[in-house]
Amino acid sequence: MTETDTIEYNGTWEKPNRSIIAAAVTGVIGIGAIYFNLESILITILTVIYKAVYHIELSGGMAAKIRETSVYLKTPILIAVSISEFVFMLLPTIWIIKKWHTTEVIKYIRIKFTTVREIVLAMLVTVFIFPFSSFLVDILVKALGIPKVILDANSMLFTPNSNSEFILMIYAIAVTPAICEEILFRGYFQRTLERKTGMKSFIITGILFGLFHMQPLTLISLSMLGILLSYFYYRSQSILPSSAAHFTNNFLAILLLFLKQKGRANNTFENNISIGWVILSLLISAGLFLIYLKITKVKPVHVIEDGRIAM
Amino acid sequence: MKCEYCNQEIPSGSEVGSNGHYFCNQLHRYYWEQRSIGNIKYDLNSQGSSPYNESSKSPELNSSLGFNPDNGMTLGDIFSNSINLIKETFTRNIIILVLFLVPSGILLAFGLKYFFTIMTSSASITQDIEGQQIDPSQLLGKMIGMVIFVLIILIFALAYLGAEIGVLNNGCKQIEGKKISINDTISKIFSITYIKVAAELILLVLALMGIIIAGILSMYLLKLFVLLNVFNDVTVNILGVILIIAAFLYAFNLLFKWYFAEVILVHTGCGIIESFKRSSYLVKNNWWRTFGIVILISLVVGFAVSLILSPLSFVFMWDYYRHLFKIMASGGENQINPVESLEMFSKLGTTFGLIIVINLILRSLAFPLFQIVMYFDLKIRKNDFDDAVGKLEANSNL
Repeated sequence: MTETDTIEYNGTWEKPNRSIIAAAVTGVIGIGAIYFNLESILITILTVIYKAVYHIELSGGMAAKIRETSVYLKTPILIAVSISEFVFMLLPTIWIIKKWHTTEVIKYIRIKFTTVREIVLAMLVTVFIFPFSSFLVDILVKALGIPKVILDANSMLFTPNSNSEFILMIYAIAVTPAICEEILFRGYFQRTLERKTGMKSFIITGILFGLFHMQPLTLISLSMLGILLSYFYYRSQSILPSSAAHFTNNFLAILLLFLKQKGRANNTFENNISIGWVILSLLISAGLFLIYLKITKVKPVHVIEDGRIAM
Repeated sequence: MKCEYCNQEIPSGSEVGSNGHYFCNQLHRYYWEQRSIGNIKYDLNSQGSSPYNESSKSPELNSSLGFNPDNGMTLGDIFSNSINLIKETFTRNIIILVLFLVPSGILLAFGLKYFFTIMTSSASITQDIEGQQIDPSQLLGKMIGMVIFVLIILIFALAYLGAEIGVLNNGCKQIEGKKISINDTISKIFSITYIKVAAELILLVLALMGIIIAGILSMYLLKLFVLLNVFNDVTVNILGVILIIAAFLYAFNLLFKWYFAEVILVHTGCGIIESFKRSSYLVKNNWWRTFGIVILISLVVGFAVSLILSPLSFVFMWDYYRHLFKIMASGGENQINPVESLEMFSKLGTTFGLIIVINLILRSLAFPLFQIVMYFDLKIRKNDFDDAVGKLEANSNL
């Protein structure tokens, strides 16, 4: 019995005349449009309130203003981002699945247990891919000659200055996307696309994941990460490995900035990342990925809904 | 009595048609008439189903359109049908858009480069020779340059209009089950329809601006009452603001009322005034629905385009960013010299032109087709598939 057979598609989109790919595209783009617009409004409102309550006046030249903005407005931005991800991303995604496709939302998203070693391996592969992603960004940063003031401001926005801020950042930047973005991209978009396109779905989802972040500098590395996360989802038929890997990637980024702040690490965009370390970590990552493939040897069969069978 | 089209029993009193041919509704009559003149190519009898029957496998879009023939399309139907239509017309539309927008876009890119160069040199002159007399021949050269730039913008706008007519025509024909060739589309673009659509757009802009200007002028007229001591200043100001808001709201209302005039012109080839009337008739009682869906579609299409355009713009503007960061890094981080930034802008002219063209091509691949599906949805809702009925109703509802 395949998964397709066990889910009852009783939503309004599930009619023979309706294109499932159109549902996936409409859903993800629609939610993206709502999310980005409402998030910007929320960030504006919260920063205005925050500035008024704490009487923040930006002073000095452009560089000083950029630095001050990053420091003072960090908290309202983080709060706005985490609220937006839950309210404008997660809730509409669940609503769309329920309304358009099926009332069996948990089953559709594939919130189900898988083996611990599969989750741990997914996390480890992500850990060792991280230096390569940073290296790619570093190349672009250097080629563009981005001045230190902007790099500092960017780092400051994501650098926790205290333990409590560290916890807030983990919640806003690591936990929230690992839940909300995973459910939108893997649980809805890839899951829906998979019903028609099979294996191609994880590559399309990965690239879209990169594009959605609207950061041209990190487009290549985020798309690579997106493809990896989507593959974990496709291979395991569970959202847990990709969520855990997503959490790991974001957590690692905050942790490195936190350690740098405390003077225990220097691995940030403006610093050189040794090519040797990058190659070594890439090799370790490839090795771990092969182990992952080996332990998840039994491949799932996906029934594409026009009757063809794809792996 | 059975419907000629779907062969279902017609509820008594609701039949449409005459001369021995009766239908459930105007849509069925329309389909039956289209089929009988060979516009819809599939054979209904052999499939035993109507075009919107879910089991139909006809390759024609008509048969894959999803909607309820009595109530029109849901929001999901509109999105699903529009995406199908985008897919079906993609190749022909991209050819038309590239044919019309790429040559004019290249011209626009050079025009923008030229414009920025003029602006940069004007700024430099103002800074360098402040107080001195400007050479008249230099000034004349700049004025001629500006005129050429305006002409280039005009050529681009005309090319864009042609491309849009082509896309609308492809979409309308496709939704009726007719696949037309590129040559047919080009013939349609270079027909009387082009003049009509251009005139319709000019009329629309004039009407909307006229209403807003009337609102502003009436505020000044109200000032006369102050002079005549009828009202005091405060009352006149409040009334004036109310009048301007009312003018804007009315113009906004008309904008959506006449939203489908362009599609109607391309689809039916009717007169300009009639297209406004028919659009008003279709939107009547559906204004809020039209407004909401148009806003939603604008957001969705805008976001989809920005997803693609964001990395592309970054690549195109690579040199500009490098230059900007270089200035910032070389100690100028607290202020940027306006002449220096204008110089940077002058290098952006071609890039802006390319970004504008790609943006318009991407938008035009999607937005007009959503518009067409919405137009057909309203036609279904209003049973507006009989020209005579449509004209009659339109005349009585404007």
